[in-house]
Amino acid sequence: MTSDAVLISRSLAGDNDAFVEVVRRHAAAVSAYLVRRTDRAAAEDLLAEVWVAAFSARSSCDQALPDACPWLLGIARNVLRRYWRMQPGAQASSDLEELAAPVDPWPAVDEWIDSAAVVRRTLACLPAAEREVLLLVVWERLSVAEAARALGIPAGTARRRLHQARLVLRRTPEIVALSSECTAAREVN
Amino acid sequence: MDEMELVGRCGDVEPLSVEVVERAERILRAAMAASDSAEPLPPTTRRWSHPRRLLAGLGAAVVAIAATGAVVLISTGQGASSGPRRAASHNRVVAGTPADIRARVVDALSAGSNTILLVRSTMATPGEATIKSLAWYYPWAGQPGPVREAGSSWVAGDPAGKVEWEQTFTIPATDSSQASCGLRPAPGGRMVMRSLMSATGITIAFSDRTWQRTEISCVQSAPGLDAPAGLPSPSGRGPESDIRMMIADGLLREVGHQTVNGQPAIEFRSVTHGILTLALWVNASTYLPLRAVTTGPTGDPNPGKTWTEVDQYTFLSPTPANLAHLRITIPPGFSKAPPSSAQG
Repeated sequence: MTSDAVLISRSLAGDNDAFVEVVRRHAAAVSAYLVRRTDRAAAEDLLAEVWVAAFSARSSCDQALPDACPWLLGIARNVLRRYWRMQPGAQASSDLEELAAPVDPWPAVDEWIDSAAVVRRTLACLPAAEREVLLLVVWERLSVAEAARALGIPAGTARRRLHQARLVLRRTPEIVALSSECTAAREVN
Repeated sequence: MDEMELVGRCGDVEPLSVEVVERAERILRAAMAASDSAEPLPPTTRRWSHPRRLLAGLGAAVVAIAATGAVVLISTGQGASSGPRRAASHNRVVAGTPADIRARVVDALSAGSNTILLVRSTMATPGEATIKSLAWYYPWAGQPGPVREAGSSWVAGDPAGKVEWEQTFTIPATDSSQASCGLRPAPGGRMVMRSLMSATGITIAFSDRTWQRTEISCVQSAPGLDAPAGLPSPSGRGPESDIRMMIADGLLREVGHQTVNGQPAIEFRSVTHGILTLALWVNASTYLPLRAVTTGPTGDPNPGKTWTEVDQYTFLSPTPANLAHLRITIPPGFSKAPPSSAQG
């Protein structure tokens, strides 16, 4: 299979189809990146914007590296930043119980929402720079070096930030409790 | 389970649909065509946050592409709504008589109660803003019992001004006629319009940062695969999927075979003489709906003007992550508006 770097090189020479092939290859990864960080409706609108921005900036993609995914995620991050700057602040409500409808057939959903809320709250408390590295590694499954590339920072810095983020998570009592609960539940099952 | 696994579990998401990705690709190609043109892109093209605005600024290059038909769909926010493409093998016939095929569709629509139905809709009216919506239903098949619906709708290109809602219906285990809406006794000896099916829920308006509890006393059809209001009602309209009833009653008839979203599909058309028309495509293997297109007159004195609603159907397994879409969250700082009640 032709590498992303070769395709981007061709697109710089005027082959637009080559660039479309690159974005097709990474459509799932870029889509998931957007959906995880904003609501679905916004992600649907932003996907095209990421690709157009990537096309305009394709000369900035390091062609010494065959995989363009980290570079595309870096573009997506910049597009998201612009989007967030335009949005009014909104965070999860704390009074979910008050809003619960009379019929609630989904205790598993509650558990999922609750544990997700604990993790997300903890993630929100991490310094943004550490959180970004952690999520690129865990959610987008990038290596530390690739995450560093997406963020435009040295690999050593990314490694240090990831270490710091993991340390904070391990020291957060709610995360420790949740980890123990999940481990216990897994053993029971 | 370590902290990395916990964080990873929160990152499980349903991917964006093929239609959305295809729409993004069309926008990308439009931008490429614009950049290939002699004129440089105006500087503002790099500042748009939504495809619609992006297209508005791409200028002549996009107009030229619009002439081919590709961008008309993008500009109304209906990337997912492009008409079904005629398959090269469109004359391939699914085995069975029309009655057999209708029976298989009815069976498929009756069997999926432990499934989440996701409906993506686009409502386009000439000269007006296009409205988009997402709605999740669980369980979707209109069987007796509680049904949860949650969703959001927004003007295309303005997702920040959206309305979100969450409702719980209870579909009664009774004969259909009792579920239809009519005057019924209420506490205090009054007679009120109500059906045996009602809904309670919450609606959040992001445009004015308010939320309110809602109560709908007169739900006329089961949530999920309901036919749009205005189509002639199937007989004994009640707590069952309208589309299922229309097919069972022969009000939707098979007219051909096409490819929709890359999947072989059977096309049905409404055969009633009402002012609305409904076209439905079902997957030729699973017999589950893929897409419905409803058209009707806008009421404009110009007789040719019609609105079009395009609904895309996706069936999902009831994982906790998918079920969580059936819950909405009131953002902090939103004020509570007085409860509203309505007949639905």
